Amino acid sequence: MFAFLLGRLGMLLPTLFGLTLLTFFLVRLLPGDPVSSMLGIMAADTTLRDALTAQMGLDRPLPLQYVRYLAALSQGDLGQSIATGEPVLAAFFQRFPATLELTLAAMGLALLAGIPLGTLAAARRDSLIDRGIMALALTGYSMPIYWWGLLAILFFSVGLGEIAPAWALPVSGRIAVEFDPDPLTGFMLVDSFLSEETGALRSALEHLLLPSLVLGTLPLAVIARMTRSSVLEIMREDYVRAARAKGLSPARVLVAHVLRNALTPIVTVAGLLVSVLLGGAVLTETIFAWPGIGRWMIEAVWQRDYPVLQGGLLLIALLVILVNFLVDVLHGVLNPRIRHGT
Amino acid sequence: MASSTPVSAMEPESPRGVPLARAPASPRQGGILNGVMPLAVLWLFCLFAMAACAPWLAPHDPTEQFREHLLLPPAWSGGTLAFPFGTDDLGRDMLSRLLHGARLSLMIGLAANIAALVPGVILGLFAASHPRCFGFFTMRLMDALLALPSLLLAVAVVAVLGAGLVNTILAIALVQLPGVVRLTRAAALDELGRDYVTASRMAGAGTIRLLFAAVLPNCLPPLIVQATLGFSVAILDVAALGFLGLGAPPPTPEWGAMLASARDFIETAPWVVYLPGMAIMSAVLAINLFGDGLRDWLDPKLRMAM
Repeated sequence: MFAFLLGRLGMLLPTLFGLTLLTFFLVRLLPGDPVSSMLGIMAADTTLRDALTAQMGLDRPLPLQYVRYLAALSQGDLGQSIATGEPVLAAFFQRFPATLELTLAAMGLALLAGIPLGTLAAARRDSLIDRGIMALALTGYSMPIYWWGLLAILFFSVGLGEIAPAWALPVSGRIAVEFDPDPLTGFMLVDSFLSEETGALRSALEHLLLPSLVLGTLPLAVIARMTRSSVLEIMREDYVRAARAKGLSPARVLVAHVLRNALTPIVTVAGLLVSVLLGGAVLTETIFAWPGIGRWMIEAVWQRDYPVLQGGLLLIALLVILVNFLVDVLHGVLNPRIRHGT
Repeated sequence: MASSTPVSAMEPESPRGVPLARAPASPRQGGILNGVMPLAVLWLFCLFAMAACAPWLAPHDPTEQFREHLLLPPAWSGGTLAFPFGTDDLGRDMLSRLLHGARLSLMIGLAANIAALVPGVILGLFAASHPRCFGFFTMRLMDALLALPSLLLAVAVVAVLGAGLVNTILAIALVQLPGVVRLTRAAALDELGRDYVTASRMAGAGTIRLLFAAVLPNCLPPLIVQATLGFSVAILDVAALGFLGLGAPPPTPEWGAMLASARDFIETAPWVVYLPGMAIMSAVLAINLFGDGLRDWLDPKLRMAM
């Protein structure tokens, strides 16, 4: 197991190296000089220009710049935001819990609804239920998330024409303005619960509901499809026939024999979906004014805040790599064939 | 692959080449959707036809502002036939904008697709044939690209290059590149070990000839499916960039940009929200259905399993 872990970690190093190269050169090599775009019309002032170039170390040769970038990275220094002057790392972690809360809720929703739906579709294969679920899943993953967000606002908050929505949900921010729980953990659900204000937790939940539904739809569709095909595959195995032959009820066979073995590919897909979720969070946070990483990055784009863009990309990619690594390890734990096969 | 093609590509391939359950295990999964497949093809055909003929079909110029007809509802809910799908907040004809938008979306999608496929296939083939140095380096770089959520990467590229049509195409092509490279490499590695490749090599074929004349044609089926599904992802991403205000500059009639400006009128004029979204989704859905069908049809292993 230890050798397996070490091997997997070793494979990460070149990827990490590639990643730093990527974020470094993204800002430097592409046309458009960061200094002049940062200064805007003030770029005509050559003294200011030279000063900023020197301050950012952009007057040094590229390899040296890269080495300095790596050295700073190794000390956790991702630079400072041009717009606010905050250190990028601190700013990231200040906003990260909001995004994490949103993505966890979306992923939870996707798993909780997707696995049962996919299993049901497989168990009732080719029935009307199966067709219905698969048609919904196909719609779900063809749905543009930004449109789905607007529709959700229309259905659940604004109402359609004369028909008011049954339950008007809030569509902006993380909690109603009258509540201001101390940011102890950064997770609004936990903080509002700890604040013990009546209605705070409810308000936080209501604010979370629509964004996580919108963000969770694509993973839900993918997981439902994946579960269905995985369950169908396992149902053809001999040991399933054996289990049924020895008289176990179909439901028990499905849960104890089929589903348990069908979960491995689902774990993989769920891990890969983290990257999709973080990408979708950019749009969801923009639509629902959710103060997370996605909106922060989009604001950085508008303000041409390159250190934020560069640092944010790097941190998000690190997160994705970490999750994929954990999924890989989990895989090895679940499936000894993988552990010993490499 | 995860980031650029969320559904299609992540199913068959496991991260480290350990075989997973193949995606559509049910032989008759296609059967569920077979009924709508002709409809999807028909709709795709219509979309391409409409995109090609947009200047002649559109009743008005897509950027012309009819100031006396702001936010006019569609003809079926109280508008006039002069503006069958109503007008937007600047009095521009929705139908004309949608038609021209189809042109733009399909064109950008196709261009991005080709811009990802050509270098992706070449890199993938050489990564398979030179696994030691070139292949290793390429694949790690692709891994790094894959670790970035596709939309964020596209946003970052556009942020650095500047918003605009060509840069949108470049950004989306870059996002799709790792998926193509990985798929090509995996398929080519499979083929390189086969007897016909050895035979061809023994007959004196050089690397280039071996890769492009012998190996590539046999890798095509999964690549065609990937290209189809990549096309739908490209359309989604184009519109996402447009929605974020990073796509084609206004007043370009781009579906995503139309949605972005529609946000403020969601209560008063819901049709400016419905129509562009419907256009995006119907196009993506049709392409996905087509791609699914194509996969079932092109994958001989699945056909034999039936």
